[in-house]
Amino acid sequence: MSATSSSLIRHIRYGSLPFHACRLVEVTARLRSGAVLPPAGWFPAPLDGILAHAARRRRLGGNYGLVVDHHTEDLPLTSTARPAGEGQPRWKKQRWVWAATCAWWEPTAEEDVRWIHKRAWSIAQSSELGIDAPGTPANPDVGRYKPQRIPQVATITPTITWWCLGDPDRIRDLLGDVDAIGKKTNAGEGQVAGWDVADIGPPDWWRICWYPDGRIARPFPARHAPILGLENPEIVTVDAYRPPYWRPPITDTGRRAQVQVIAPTTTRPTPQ
Amino acid sequence: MTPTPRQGGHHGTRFRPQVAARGGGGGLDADTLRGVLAASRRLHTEALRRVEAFLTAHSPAYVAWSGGKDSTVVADLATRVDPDIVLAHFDTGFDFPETLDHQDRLAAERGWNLRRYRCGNALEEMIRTGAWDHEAPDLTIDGGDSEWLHVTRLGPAAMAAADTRANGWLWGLRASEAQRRLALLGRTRGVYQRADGMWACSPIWDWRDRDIYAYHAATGLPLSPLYAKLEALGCPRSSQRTSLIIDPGGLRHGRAVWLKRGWPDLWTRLTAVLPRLKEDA
Repeated sequence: MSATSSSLIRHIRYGSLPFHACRLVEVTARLRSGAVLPPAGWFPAPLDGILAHAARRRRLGGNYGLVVDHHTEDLPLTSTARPAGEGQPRWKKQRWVWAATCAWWEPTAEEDVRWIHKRAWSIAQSSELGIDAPGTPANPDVGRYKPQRIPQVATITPTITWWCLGDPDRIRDLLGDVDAIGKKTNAGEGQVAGWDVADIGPPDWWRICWYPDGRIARPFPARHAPILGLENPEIVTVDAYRPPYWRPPITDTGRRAQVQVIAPTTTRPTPQ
Repeated sequence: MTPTPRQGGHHGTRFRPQVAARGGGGGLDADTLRGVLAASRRLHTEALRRVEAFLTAHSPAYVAWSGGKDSTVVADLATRVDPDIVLAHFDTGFDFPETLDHQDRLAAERGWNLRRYRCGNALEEMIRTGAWDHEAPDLTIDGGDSEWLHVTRLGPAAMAAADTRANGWLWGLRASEAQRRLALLGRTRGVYQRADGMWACSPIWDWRDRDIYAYHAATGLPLSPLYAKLEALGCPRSSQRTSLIIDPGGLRHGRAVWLKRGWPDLWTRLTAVLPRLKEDA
């Protein structure tokens, strides 16, 4: 395969913007309610995941969730697959990631435990009470209809912030479709009042790698550790390091496999 | 109308001390305060008397010590009566790592005779025997013939009995934990003989949660660090469980949520083999 066709395939497959065409963008979600997000020890709500969800939903329209589609969404972001400029990290080409952080909120934010209850009438109970409920399960003591009392921990914060390298206009356009983030959005959690997308300067990968408090800002595969200046960092296993985050990617052998990334508790190394 | 003393009246209003909750930062600790009350001291004395009476009648016996708050109280009571009594940990291979560390540390500090008994791996058995099956009814403690129960409870119990030549055991079962336990322990007042001839005694069968925490606070008996970790995660006291990492019955009460929040790496490894876990968190 020629170099030209190889790079063309990579471009189609990755669908990311060239580094020089990007800006450093700060994205802020103004929330109407608490948001059910993962706690410390996880990578919460990556911006590229939110954008990929919005892009796929826009592309598939009414077929969203009904068709199997392994296509990687093109996002208005750059990625580690694109060469960056002078003074920027020289990323390895394999195991590429998008140039976007996970969610960041003020560490003083409170948490609130909400309980979700699920109960189902049995056919016996329904007939005793004279309720006509043809949809009731035969037995609510087993299976999916078991009664449940499940906690959900909501983070109470007025705003959530992300940083990314991309095209602010296209990011603003995509985020316009997103009206809720996190889990349990049908129960009213994570409702977004509005998005603020601000161009805050020229592209700089180092602003994407670390949060303001020095913690690592997104899942990076373990092989990128030396580029981040990390020697033998703690490694954790996650389902995925780029969208879709909810399931492991398909490997070359056609199987889904979890991947090892640098732990979310890792902090920026101090310069020697 | 002449007020009765119970309602206050001539003696003024009843004293209701306002104390800060545990970990509230400064001020009084409700558990410590409750632990020094005369009513709590009477409860502790009564529990010691029950242990003495059981060991007199059914010695030798061992203590089933899971490392949780209830069985640790029983272990403390039993070792006050018999310092050499065996504290048997039923090692399922599926305990939180914090539990094992806590038990080893406490046993070393206090000179307790801790022994571990293991006859299988709870997670493997849970999957193999179908206890994990979505269509399986929740297992109960007196489920009897389940192979999973054999690995987690009955098998190690038999090993401990054979090793210590025991006629019975002491454990931390409490009536306030479940209706079935209330039915069993209320009828037997905490002491009963099982079908296999072994005697079981729970000297704290009628204690409430707050009595347990008060005992720990009053006697300086350390709680497993798991409780502090679960509390920091937002888990209320009534939902804090420290036994198996997961069990099929605990999922409907949200145990998977706390596991996911507190032990991310362990969660990811478990969901690789038990994908349905994600439905419960």
